Amino acid sequence: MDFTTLSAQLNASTIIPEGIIVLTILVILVGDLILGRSSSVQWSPYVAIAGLLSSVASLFFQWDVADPIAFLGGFNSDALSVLFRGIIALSSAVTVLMSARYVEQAGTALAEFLAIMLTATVGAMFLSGANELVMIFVALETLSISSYLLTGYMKRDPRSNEAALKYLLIGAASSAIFLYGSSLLYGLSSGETRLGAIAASISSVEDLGLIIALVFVIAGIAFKIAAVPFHQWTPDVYEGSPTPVVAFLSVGSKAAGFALAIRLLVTAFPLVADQWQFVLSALAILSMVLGNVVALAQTSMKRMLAYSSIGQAGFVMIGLVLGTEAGYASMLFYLLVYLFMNLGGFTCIILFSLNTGTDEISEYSGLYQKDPLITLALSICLLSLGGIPPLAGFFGKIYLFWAGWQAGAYGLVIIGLLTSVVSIYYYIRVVKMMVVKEPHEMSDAVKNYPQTRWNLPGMRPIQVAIVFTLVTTSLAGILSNPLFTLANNSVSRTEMLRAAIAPTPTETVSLDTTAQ
Amino acid sequence: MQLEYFLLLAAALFCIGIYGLVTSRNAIRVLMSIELLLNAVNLNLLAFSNYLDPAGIKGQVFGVFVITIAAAESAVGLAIVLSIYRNRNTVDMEQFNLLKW
Amino acid sequence: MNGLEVQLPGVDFGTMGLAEGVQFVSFILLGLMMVGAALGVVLLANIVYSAFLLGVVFVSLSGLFILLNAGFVAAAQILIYVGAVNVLILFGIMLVNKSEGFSTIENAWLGKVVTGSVCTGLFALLGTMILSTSWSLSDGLVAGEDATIVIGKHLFSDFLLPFEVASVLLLIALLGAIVLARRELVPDEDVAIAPPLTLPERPRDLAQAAPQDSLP
Repeated sequence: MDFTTLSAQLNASTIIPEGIIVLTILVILVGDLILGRSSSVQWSPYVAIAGLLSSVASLFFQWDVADPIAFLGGFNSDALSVLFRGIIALSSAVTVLMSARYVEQAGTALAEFLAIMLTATVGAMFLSGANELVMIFVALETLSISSYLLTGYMKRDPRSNEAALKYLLIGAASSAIFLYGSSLLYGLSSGETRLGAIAASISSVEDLGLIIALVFVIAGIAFKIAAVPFHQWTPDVYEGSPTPVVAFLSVGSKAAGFALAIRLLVTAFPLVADQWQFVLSALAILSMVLGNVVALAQTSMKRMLAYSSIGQAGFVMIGLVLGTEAGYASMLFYLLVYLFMNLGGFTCIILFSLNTGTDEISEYSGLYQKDPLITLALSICLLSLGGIPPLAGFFGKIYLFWAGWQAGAYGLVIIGLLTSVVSIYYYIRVVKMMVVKEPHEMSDAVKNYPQTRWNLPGMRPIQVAIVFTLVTTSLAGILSNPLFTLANNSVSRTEMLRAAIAPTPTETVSLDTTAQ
Repeated sequence: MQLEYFLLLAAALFCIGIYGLVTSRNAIRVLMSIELLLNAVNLNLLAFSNYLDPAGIKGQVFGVFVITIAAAESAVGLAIVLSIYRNRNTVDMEQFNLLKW
Repeated sequence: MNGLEVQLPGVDFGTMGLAEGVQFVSFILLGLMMVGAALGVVLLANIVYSAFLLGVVFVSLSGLFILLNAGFVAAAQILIYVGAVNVLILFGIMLVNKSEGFSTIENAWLGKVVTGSVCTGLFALLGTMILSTSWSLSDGLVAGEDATIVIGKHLFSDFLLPFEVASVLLLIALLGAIVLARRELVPDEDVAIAPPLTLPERPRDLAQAAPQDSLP
C-alpha cells in the first residue's frame, strides 16, 4: 500500500469542515499568544465565528458526495451526519456570539474559552459521523473533556467548580461504562471495530452478551442526551456552568448524542432493534414526564431550562424509537427548530443576567416596561418551546406526534401531548410575569434595570444573536418548508437509514438483507 | 490459559471500580476508581485482541487510545479537584452540595 | 480446560507444558495481586496507601498484558499510567492533602453494604455472560512479535483519524488543565462589575434574601 493509493483511499476531503475549525483553534491560540490578551478580545470571537460559518458553508458541498465513507471506514460523511454537523456548528456559532460579552465581564480569558468551545464543537461534529468504535470513543471524549473544562471555567466560583467536578466524575464513569459495552461488542464480533462489520458478524450470537453490551452502550448515550435515569448531572451542571456553555450543552452536545444514538443503535444493533426501541421508549416517557413536571417547581431560569431540555430530549426520542422514515425526519426537524428557539432563550437570559446579575424567574416581572426587545425575544422563544401554534416549535411537535401516531406509538404520543400541555404552563408563567405585571409590581432587579449599552465590546454580537434567533424562530414556523425538505432529504439520502427502514413491514426480510 | 479467565478478572476489576466510584467520599479516590474502570476495559480489549483477533490486533490499538485519553482525563480531573479545593478547602464529596434541586 | 487450549504465540521456551504452567502461575499471581491491590484502592482509609496500591494495580495489569502478547501496550501502560497518571495523582494528593477527618454520616455502612451487593450481583451477571457466551476463538495468523509494527500500520491507515483527533484532544486538555489549575492574578478588581472569575448570576440564597452571608 503505497502513499498515493492510501491517500486516495482515505478520502480526506470529507473532513474539511472539521479541518477548518481545527485551523481556527490554532489561529486563535497562536494569535492570542503573539498579539496578547487585550487585543485578542477584540478579534478572536469574529475569527471563531468566521471559522464556524465557513465550516457550515463547506458542509454544504459535502451534501452530495458520491462516496461518503472516509478513513477506511472510520468516518461516514453521509447526509445525516452532514445535517447533524451543520446543527452543531451553527449552535456553536450562536454560542460564540453570546459568549463574548459574558466571558469578558467575568474577567476570564476569552481566547482559551473559544479554543475549548471550538474543540468541543470539533469533537461533537466528529461524533456525528464516527462510524467505528475507536473513533466514536475518541470523538466522545474530545467533546466530553472540553465540556468539563468549559463547565469549570469560572474557577473562582465554587458553583462552577462543583458543577465541573460532578460533570467530570459522572461523565468519566459513564464513558467508562460505554467503553466496557464497546469492548464487549469488539469481542462478540470477534475483532471488528467498524459498526457495519460488527452488525454483520454478530448475526448468530446468543442474547445475553449482546443485551449487556446494549445496556452499557445506552447508558453512555443516555448520559450525553440527559435522558431521565441518567439526568442527575443536568440541573447542577446547568446551574453552575457559564450560561453560554449551558446553551452549547443543551443544543450542540445533545445533538451529537442523538447522532451517536442513531448511528450506533441502527447500524450495530439491528438484531436487538425491538429491545433498544423498548428501552429508549421507556427513557423517553420518563424524560418527558419528569423533565416537564419538575420544571414547574423551579425558581431559577437556568434550572428551569435544564429540566425543560430534559423534557425536550424526551420529545426528540419519540422520533428516534419509531424506526420509520418520518420518525427520523421529524426528529431532525425538531432538532433544527430547537436549535434556534433554545439558543434564543439562552441569549435573552444571558443579556438579562449581564444587566441585572440574577437569573431568578421572579426577578423578570415587569421587564416589558424596561426592555421590550428581551421580553419579545424571550416570549417568542419560550412560547415556541412550549409549542404555541404559529411558531416553529409547534410544527416540530406536530410533525413528531404525527409520525408517532402513524407508526402506531399511541402511548408515546399521548404522553407527549399531555406533558407538552404541562410545559406550556411553565413557559407561559414566565411570559405572563414579564408582560402583564403593573409598574408597581416590578421586581427590584427590573426597577434598577440599566440602559443596555450596545456599544460595549461584545454586546453587538449578543444583539445579532437575539435578532437572528428571534427572526428564525418566528419565520421557521410559517416558512417551515425548506427545513422540512432538508430533514426529509437528509434521511432519504442516508444509506444506513434506508437499509434500516426498508424492511420494516416484515421483520424477516431484514436478516436476509444483512446476510447478503 | 483461557480467554474467560482474563474476562472474569476484568469483570472483577470493573465491579471493584464501580464500588469505589459509588462509595468513595474523597474526590481523588473517585478519580482512582475511574482509572480502575478504564483499566478493566483495557484488559477486556487486550484479551479479545489476543484470542479473537490475533492478526489484526485492533484491540491493542484501542487500548493505546484508551490509555492516552485516560491520561488526559485524569489531568483535567485533578485540575478541577485542585480548583475546587482552593475555593472550598475540602475534597469531601458529601460537602459539595451548593447545587441542589 | 475443555479442550479449547489456545497456544500462546511468541512463547517458545521449553516444552509447551512448562510454558503453559509458567504462564498459568504468573497469571494467578498477577491476578491475585491486581484484585488485592484494587480492593485496597477502594477500601483503605488512607488515600496515600490507595495511590501506591493503584500503582501496583497498573504494574500487575502490565504483566497481564505481556501474558496477552501485548508488549507495546504493556510498556505504554507502565510509562503512562505508572509514570504519569499515578505520579499526577500522588502530586494531587500532596497538594490537596491536609488529612481531613470526614464528618461521619449515619448509616454509611448501609450504603456500602447495598453497593457491595449490587456490585457482586453485577459481577455475577457479567460472569454468567462471559461463561455462557461461546467466543469464536481465532486460530489464524498471529501478529506475535510484530505487534508493534502492526499497531504502527493501524495508526497510519484505518486509525489515522482518531490518532489525529487525539492530538487535538491532548492539546486542549493540556491547555485547559493549565488554565484551571493555575493561580490567577486578578489585576483589575474594581473594573469588573461582578467579582472576577465567577458566574455573573448571584447564588440563589443570596438572590432571594438580602445578602446576609456571602460564600467564602
